[in-house]
Amino acid sequence: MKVLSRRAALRLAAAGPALAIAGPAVGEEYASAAEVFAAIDTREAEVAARLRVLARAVPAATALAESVLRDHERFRAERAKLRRRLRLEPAPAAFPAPAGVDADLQALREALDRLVYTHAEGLPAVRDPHSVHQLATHMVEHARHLTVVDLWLERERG
Amino acid sequence: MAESRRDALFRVAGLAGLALPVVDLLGGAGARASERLDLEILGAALALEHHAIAIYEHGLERGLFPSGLRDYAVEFRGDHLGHRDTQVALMEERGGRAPAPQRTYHLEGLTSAERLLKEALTIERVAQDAYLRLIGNIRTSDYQLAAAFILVDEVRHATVWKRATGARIY
Repeated sequence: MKVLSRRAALRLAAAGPALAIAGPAVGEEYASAAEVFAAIDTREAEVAARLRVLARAVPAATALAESVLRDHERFRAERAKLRRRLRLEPAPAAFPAPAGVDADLQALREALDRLVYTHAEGLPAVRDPHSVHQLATHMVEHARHLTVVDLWLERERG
Repeated sequence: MAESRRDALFRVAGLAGLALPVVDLLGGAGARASERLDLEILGAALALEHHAIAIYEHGLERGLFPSGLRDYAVEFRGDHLGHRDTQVALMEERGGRAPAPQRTYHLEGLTSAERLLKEALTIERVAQDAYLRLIGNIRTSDYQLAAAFILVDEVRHATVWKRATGARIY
């Protein structure tokens, strides 16, 4: 679980030795690419579960959910290729749905934030430039989804 | 004819006077990760941050951002100032000398909200594309992590300006 915001982490790096940004205070530290991929799979599955529930409850969310879930499908296929490239075990065929998922836009936002963070914090453990680039490309798309949800929340709050 | 993202990337890179190895990386060439390359990437990223800050300051000082978008512009200028300071710290820690902003960014033509928003979107897309193309070649973990956080900010900025200019965001 992260304990510092992204902006706070960047301020920390600006204020002190750069190593501070990679220290344990920032959030998760990953020891291997396998850990990073497993964390991404889990967090992405949570986002997908929340999106499906939201789309069932809020028809206006259907187009967004369909678009994001299509992106997730592509990312899973690309991660499977990266796993082979890095000689990692394949991902499990399915992930258990997280308990207690409801149609909560704020909770979806938080799940997306965790997913984006997992990518960012995981990149240094991957160590292969091609795989880093590919996962960063996925992170960009997740960050875009996060911003879309942010804008939706802002509109709802008026 | 509208400028492509790739053309915009190289136009801004040319304005910033980026080091040749970085320009090659932006063009898709490979390179061996090294401390020297990290410093050149930091220099390139700083040049983009200076350019972005100049655009936001130009728009904010002249009141060109529409009232509903001004808060975003203030937020994003703050982000870019943070990115600049982070990367100056990283560069100096490695014994490098951070590049100063250019004397001028030739922004005189940005005299309307429409043109300003278009240019803000362009610089954010350029920054997003540049960080994305360079991030795999960063050798040190601390800078790679900082670059990832910065990249996430650039995506947020670009997505907000895309919506403001009427483009689809999903």
